[in-house]
Amino acid sequence: MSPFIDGIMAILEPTVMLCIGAGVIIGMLVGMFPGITATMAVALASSFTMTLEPVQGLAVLLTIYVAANFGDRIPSILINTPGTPASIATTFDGYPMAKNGQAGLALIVSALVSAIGIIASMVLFSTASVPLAQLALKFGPSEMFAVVILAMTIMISISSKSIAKGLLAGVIGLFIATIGRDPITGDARFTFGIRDLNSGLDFIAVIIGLFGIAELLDQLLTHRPHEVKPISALGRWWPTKDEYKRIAKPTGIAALVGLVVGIIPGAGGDIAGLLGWDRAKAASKTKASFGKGNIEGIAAADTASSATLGGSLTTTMALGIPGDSVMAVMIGSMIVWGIQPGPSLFVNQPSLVVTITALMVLATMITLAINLVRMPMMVKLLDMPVHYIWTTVLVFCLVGTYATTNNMFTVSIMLIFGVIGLVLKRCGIPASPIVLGLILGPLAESNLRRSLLIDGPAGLVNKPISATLLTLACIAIVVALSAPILARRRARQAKAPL
Amino acid sequence: MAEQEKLAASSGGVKALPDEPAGDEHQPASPSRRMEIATASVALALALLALVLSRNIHLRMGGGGLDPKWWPTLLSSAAIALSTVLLCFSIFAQTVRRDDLESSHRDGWVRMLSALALSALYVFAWWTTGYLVATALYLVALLWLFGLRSWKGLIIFPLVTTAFIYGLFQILLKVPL
Amino acid sequence: MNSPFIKTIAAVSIISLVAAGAAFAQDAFPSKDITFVVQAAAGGASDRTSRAIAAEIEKDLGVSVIVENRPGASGTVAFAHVAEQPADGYTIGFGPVEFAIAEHIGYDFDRSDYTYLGQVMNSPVVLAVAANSPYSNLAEFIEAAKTKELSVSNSGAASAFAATAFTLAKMTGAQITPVPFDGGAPAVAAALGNHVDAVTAGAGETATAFADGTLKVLAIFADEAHPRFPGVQTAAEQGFDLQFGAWGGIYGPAGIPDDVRAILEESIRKAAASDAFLEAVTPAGILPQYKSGADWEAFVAAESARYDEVLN
Repeated sequence: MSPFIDGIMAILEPTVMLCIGAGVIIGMLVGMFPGITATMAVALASSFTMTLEPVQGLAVLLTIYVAANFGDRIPSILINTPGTPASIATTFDGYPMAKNGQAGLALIVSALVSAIGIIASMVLFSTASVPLAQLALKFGPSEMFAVVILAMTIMISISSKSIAKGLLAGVIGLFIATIGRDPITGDARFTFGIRDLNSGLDFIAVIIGLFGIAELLDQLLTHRPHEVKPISALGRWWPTKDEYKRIAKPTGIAALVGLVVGIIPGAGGDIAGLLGWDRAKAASKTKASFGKGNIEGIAAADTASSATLGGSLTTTMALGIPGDSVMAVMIGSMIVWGIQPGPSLFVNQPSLVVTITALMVLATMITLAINLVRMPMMVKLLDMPVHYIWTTVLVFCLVGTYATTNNMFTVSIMLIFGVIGLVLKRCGIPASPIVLGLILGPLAESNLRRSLLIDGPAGLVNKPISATLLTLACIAIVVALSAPILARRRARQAKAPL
Repeated sequence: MAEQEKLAASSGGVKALPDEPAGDEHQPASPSRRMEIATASVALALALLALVLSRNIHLRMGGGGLDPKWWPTLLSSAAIALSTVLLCFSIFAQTVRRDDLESSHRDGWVRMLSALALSALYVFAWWTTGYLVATALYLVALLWLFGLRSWKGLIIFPLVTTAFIYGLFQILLKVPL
Repeated sequence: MNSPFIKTIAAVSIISLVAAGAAFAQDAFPSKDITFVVQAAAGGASDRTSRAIAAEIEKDLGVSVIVENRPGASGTVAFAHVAEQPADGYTIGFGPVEFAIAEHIGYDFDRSDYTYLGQVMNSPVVLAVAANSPYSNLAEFIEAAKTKELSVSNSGAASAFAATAFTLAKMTGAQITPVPFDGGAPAVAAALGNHVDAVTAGAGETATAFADGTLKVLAIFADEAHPRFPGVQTAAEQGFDLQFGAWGGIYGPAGIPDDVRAILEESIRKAAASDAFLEAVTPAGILPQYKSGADWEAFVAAESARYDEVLN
């Protein structure tokens, strides 16, 4: 029989279906719960999947991976709290859409494009893994540094109101990321003798604080009785024909971004979401409303970060090197089952490749279906009186953060960043560049210093990929900085004749 | 009486004050030059502090070149430059509009600060008395603070939520709480 | 309610107590759940080893062993937490190679705050190069490094892997630049992509690529050959007597009473020798390696003296 039929047959078993069902439930719960990530769920689940058959085990773990990627969008859209770091960029337009009374539309679009992102990336995985993985290996420290510098230009595009404040926020994020141990020498920086600070501020605690808790505190501060709560006014669910047309372009662009970022080891859904959002904004006709509830924004963010799934699966299976932290855990399980990831897997066990692809696609379809059917119920939860919502959000954020490290210090960090986030919000300093700085800071510094250790300064410019990317970054910075100035001048000229 | 409680319950516990127009949906925060100047000044002061701290990082193996001090120094210098620009803007340029923010009010402050204090207390109580008791009490206290006065809600909701979280973590994910 | 069911349960529990070697007295150890603290997040080699050992101890002693992950600060968050717990044997933890390293890189950590219950594993360091690299054994690599500077990636600053590269350079006078990465996977990827000349990594991170033929392993820094690397010689066999590994054992707070300590040590010894433990850890490149508590304590002291020299 052909490997294709073998691969498909392997998953058409009742036990495998049962495993997929379990995976969907665990994954959705974990994704929606702020704090706990897919990595944690897969790691904990792998202790009981060890004794299963390989296909059954893969069914559980891969489905958790997929379902968590859907689940984490929901709190991003409804309560401005990313369920996992991969959905940071979802908050940019998702939450404003919800506030504008389009929560239902945002949820549906998010689920649809997430499915598109995953399936597009799985097509690539099943057809072109080996050559793509070779491309991934081309990204060494100097190339990574160039990618990160290019990504830094996003700081300008996400600071919509004031570029100076946005850049300041970005620098604050970059600086906060230096707390902890130096990545190259291991020296302690800004730890002030506090043991827990040695590993740096917990990234998840900081984003939950800055987004979720800060937004909640702001509501507590400003909410007035008898106020109509726009979120419960759901608006319509399904996009109009016109909206489908509008999201086609950003979805396409973002899928491409997500695929590339996903293949690069060490860059995951969080960076992809931000980059996808930024590129879609640059290409959009409605740039100005990005970040204020633009349907193109949420489509781009979610397509890009979902498309990294197939990308990291590619790196993992075709190189034997985990493409992200979830895959790092899964490689351990795969070896226990006797699956040996690497280029020869695609030659020796083509049916397994088909099985993995089929599992991912099936998990995506099932999760999508559940999401679409269940959405109204999900959003009904927000119809509860505010005191229930506020209480639930607070306790979920606290417990979810605690579970990441079993350490009250992490919970305190989250609360502190909630307060910092509130102060910044009231002062008009945006939180998203801070998070961008937190993600990119360690990558920028460590990769630059690594590349200097290896080749000295010449290494940055005499390699074709890094030289090209650095040139692009310079152009992007100039364009991004000059765009608002040009726009203002144009606006002034347009006004002048009147 | 019961009617009134219900009304308070569905409105987040803040009773409409006579001097505040009830039913007004959007009350934007007003722009403030003083706050802009204060923000920029604080940022500048913090950036200077960061620069001093960066220069004082203790190196185990000696420095030179791109040592661990280099990147924080670069960042704090950039922060100094940016906050100086902001300070100039805040003094000379037009004050930024803040109509994307709602204005705060006194009851809001009380509610926000109490919730924060309760959360801090909860973190401490969890650490000393364990998850179950602390969480249930914390939930009751929060609901009361946010204006719920119905006995049924105050008892059932905390119990169900505490149990759900316990089941998810302790039993399903095997993460000890 | 004097049903046969309850009688059966009673009988089973008594038998299991006897089988576990526990005393008959009610307050005999263990009479309640044991907490097992892991210094890393769920999913890594430490977590995998710990969960496998915990499951065996659970079977052996007849009480639940709850695994708690307390990651952070090179593991010292977990170590300090265990040191603060009562020394009654109900809190134990996984002690990795950082036990010998932490005090030398500025952490507030004192090796004498702990009771050593036994080493259970070792994951030897290997030196590997990409398949298309010109070097095929350790001597060739060192010879080349004497004429030009070679870069060697590793999983992080102040790790056993970085120390291997440093020590190899010091020992032979070769020009080796250790380049720390953020974890083992990117370090191996850098070697596969020829961004660095070689990588020092754990057996777990290199075994898949080795089996697939994309990575050549030049040497294993252990005292014997590794089952996942057939045909690869140890460094000592190639004339470089150097051993480094990411080892790990089980410890508790200082001052665990001798009788409790004996029960735990025996249980850990049995767990480390069990088939279930073997099956759980060997696929990840981890070798079961047992040392008694006293032997392990002496070993940690010796390792610590060695790292003091390498790191300062």
